[in-house]
Amino acid sequence: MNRANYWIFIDDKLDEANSFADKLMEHGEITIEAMLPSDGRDCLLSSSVHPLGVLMDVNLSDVKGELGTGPGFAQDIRVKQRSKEIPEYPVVRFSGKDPVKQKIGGDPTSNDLFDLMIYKEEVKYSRDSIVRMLNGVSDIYSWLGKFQDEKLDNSQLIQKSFGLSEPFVSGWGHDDFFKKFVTSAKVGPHVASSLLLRTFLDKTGLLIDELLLAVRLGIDIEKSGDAWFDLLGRLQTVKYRGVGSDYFDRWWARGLDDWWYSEVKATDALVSCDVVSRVEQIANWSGLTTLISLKDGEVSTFRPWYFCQLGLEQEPPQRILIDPRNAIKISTFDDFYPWVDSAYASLKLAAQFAKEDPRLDSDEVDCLIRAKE
Amino acid sequence: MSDEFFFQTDAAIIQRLGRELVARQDTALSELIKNAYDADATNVEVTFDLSSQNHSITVSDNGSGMSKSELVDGFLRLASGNKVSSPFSEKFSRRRAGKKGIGRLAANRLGDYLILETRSKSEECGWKLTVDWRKFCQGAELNEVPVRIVKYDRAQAGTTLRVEKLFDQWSDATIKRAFRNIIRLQTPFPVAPVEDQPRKDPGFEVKFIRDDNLFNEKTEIVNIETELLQYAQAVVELSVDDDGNALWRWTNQGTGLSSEWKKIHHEALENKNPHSYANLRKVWMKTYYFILLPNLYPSMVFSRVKEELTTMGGVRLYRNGFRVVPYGEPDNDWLRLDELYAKRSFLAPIANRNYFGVVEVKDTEGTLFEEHTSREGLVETPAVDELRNLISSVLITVAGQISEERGKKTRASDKQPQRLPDQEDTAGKLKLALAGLRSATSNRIDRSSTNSTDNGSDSVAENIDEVENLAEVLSLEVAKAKAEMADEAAMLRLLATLGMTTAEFSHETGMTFDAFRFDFEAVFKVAVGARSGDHEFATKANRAKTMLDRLDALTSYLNALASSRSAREVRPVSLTRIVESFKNGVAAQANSASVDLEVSVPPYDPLFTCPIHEAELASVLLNLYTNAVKAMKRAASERRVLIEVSRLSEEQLEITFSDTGDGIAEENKERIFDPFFTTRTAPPGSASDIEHARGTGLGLWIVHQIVENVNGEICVIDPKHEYSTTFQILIPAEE
Repeated sequence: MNRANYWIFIDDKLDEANSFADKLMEHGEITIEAMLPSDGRDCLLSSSVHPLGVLMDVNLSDVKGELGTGPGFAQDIRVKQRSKEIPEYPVVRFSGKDPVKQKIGGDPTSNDLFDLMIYKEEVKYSRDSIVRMLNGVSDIYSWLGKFQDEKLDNSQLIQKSFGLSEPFVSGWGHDDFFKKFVTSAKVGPHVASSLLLRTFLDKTGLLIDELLLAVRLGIDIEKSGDAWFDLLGRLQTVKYRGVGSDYFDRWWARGLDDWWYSEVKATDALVSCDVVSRVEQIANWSGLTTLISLKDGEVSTFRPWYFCQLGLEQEPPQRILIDPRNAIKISTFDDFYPWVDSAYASLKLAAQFAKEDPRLDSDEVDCLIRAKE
Repeated sequence: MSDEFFFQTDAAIIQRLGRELVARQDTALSELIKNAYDADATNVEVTFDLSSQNHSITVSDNGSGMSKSELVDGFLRLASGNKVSSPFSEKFSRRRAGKKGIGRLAANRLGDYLILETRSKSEECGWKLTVDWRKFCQGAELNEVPVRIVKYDRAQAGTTLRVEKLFDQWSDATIKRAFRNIIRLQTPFPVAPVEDQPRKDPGFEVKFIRDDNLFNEKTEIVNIETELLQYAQAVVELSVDDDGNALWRWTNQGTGLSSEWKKIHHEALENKNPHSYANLRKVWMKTYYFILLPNLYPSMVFSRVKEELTTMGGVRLYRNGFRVVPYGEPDNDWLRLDELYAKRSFLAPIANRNYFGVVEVKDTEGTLFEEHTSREGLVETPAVDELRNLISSVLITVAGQISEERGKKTRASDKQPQRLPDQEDTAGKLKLALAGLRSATSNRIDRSSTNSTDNGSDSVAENIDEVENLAEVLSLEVAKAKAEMADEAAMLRLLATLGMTTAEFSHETGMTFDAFRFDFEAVFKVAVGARSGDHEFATKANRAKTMLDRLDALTSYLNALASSRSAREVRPVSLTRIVESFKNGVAAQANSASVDLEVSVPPYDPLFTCPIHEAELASVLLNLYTNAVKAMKRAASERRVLIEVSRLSEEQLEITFSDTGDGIAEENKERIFDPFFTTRTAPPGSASDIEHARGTGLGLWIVHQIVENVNGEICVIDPKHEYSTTFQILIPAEE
């Protein structure tokens, strides 16, 4: 097996695991070897194999004699990594939605063990972006492993890590995040990586991805065609260029607001404009007249800012645009990080799931529905 | 020194053999009729002259008759053994009904005199034999009692036995018992004209006639109609014409109403105008259908009908007018009715014992229905296969429709089992009979105290008889009810097991399916690459991928339904969500069937229902949807389905389900929720269990049950604009 970009996938169903591995490997950007838990322990905990990363299923009990779990195995790896007995590499939770729900649903205590948490169901929809993320995580580990040799002070470390010059660090970033990052980075790559990925690169807050960028600009990517890519070229100033940026296409959320005022010369805040107004002003500024605005059914005057979190969790995922003023905030099982945006749900889905999803406040849902009626 | 001695035969041996070996008069008479059967007769007339002083019975047949030598060496020679050495009759090769060679002595059991007139085809004249059984008395030597034979003129071959000075009274009940003894020897009834073919058995018909000398009137006392067929619940008729068009109908014997003749092909069950049969031609069938429940028959009749059908039930096959065995014989399940019923995949009574019928096929060339050289069955040609499937399909369909009609008497949603009223009815009769018995007993006491000559014993005896009868009926009804409850419990257990198994493994299939999809796509990609330029292969590959997507969506939806939470928890569920999930789940299937599926839900109201199984609510939609798709396929017009959900009030939610199918006939609107009601023809007995489960007419009944179980309502309302059918379902809202 080609050991470049070599990952190990721990699963109790080897046939299925190999199918998933083959799917992820189909374009050759990554190499994945599926292993049963017992073989994985032999390789990983003895340090006989040094992969670029590990994919870990949650339920491992379907193989004869296996008593352990994915999070348990991940903890063993982290402990050995912290004590330098084995090299640092990412551990990504890679499991079906059902086992996660059954085994650890609503319990965030194992989340810190993983750099990323990916559902197997997502592979059929987002194979390419998953592989990019996996390679991105490896890249982050690589970077985090190297910088410690460079004797950087905190300020330099932040500027270099996040690709920001001094005036923008406080403007587009968040002091608490940077402080926590510096602290984590000194403990070990996997501690810093977990923070970077789970509260920064893979969460909406300081950064937004391309789809959300389009939503905030009110643009329909598919209908706008090349004009969208032209616009992206003009947004280079607010593009994230820090650690992992080769794999995670992100834009600074606050940078976008700055760009809106300084470049587009808008007088009203981006969030307060409806999609037609947003696109009109961008077109006027850029000359990209073929940009098409998003529509919510027949309504074109809405002001979307997020995707509905409950919609994204459906099978298949639904990208429902929401204006937070008409949406319900979802509480999270994770620790609260002030630089991470809250998740929101559309009122419609929130109403449907309020009785069974403890993250939703059913009183608040009822209240909002009554207000709508 | 030894002397030789010989057995001597006292003439009383005749009395012993005739009167003591045959205990009952009706058995004795049927023995005489069996002799006619063995003599290859096709018609027998049994005439009872009971009006004159000299009561007599005459058995007259058109059989082979006897020559003088046969009369002397056969009839007059006891235990001659002819029937043992020749177990089959000479002309039609019938398996002889009598074998011991003493059947003729049964005449001695009936009366003092026997006058036998017979003529063999081989002779020009007939012979008349007269026997006075009284002369065969104790002390006389058997060979010393003369029997007189005289020559006489007789036009037709055959035999006539006349028994005079009868010993017994012959009530209608006794005559009917005699008839029933020989019922199985007879051709039940004609279905198609019989063609005359030498040595082919055209059947055996017996008529029991009362001759009223006073008015010289002859009336038929009993026949198969009076004994059996009149008690059938329905008559099923079928014909296939010269072009292979099959038509069938059934008649409710209770109401006399017949269905219209409907065209059928067992492979096109949904189609109201199916294609013709490729091989089948010239078939006629008439079959009587019996539901063997005590309450459907007069008291005392049920046990008899049940017993007769147990041994005679089934559908006999006649080819060119002649019986083909073993079809319709006991233990022959050529239509696979017993098998299907035993599997309980079809709950209506459809065993062979529930049918008594004849199917005739005309095939004079012998090209479609060829008999095995052994004369045991037909060679398995495509026509035979079509015949078997067609008949069983029709019979099963009728059974389903009759069950549905019977179910209509009490509503499908009744929580009480339907048979309970019957039992209450019988119990009520039993109480009345007991009251009558009490009254008769007290009258008797009163009379004895007043020294009346009429002590009332007849009245008491009659009431006791009635009580016993009713007790018997009641116990049979209870036994039947128990058996049916056990059947239902078994069915529910099976369904529950299936549900639990599905739920248990559903989460496994999810990831396995994804894994399979990835490998499948990889293999296809390589294959398509290797066959670049092969347009046909690329088309197939794309088609397979599309179908996989469709399967994927449907499987995901069904897996979600079968998940433990959905299947096991009763809780308020969001109608809005259920309907939208349903749309997502079946969208790919709908697209493939060219169905435009639209749902309309309120923008914010989740429409929480009263506590209900989420999976049950989804199955309501799935049932209505599959019915709609079938109806739209039949309608051959644009296919649109609209599901709307809304809140009617604080307490009530509404689902309307509309489609552009071929609509529901006005007269069926109230019946469609009855169990077993279906406009679809049942598949043949040989079809799979799944195929039978699809066509039982239980789908909407289950829907009805689910809705009613939560105190909801379902009905067919006037269709919405631009739709042909609209169901309205009202579900209580969450309190």
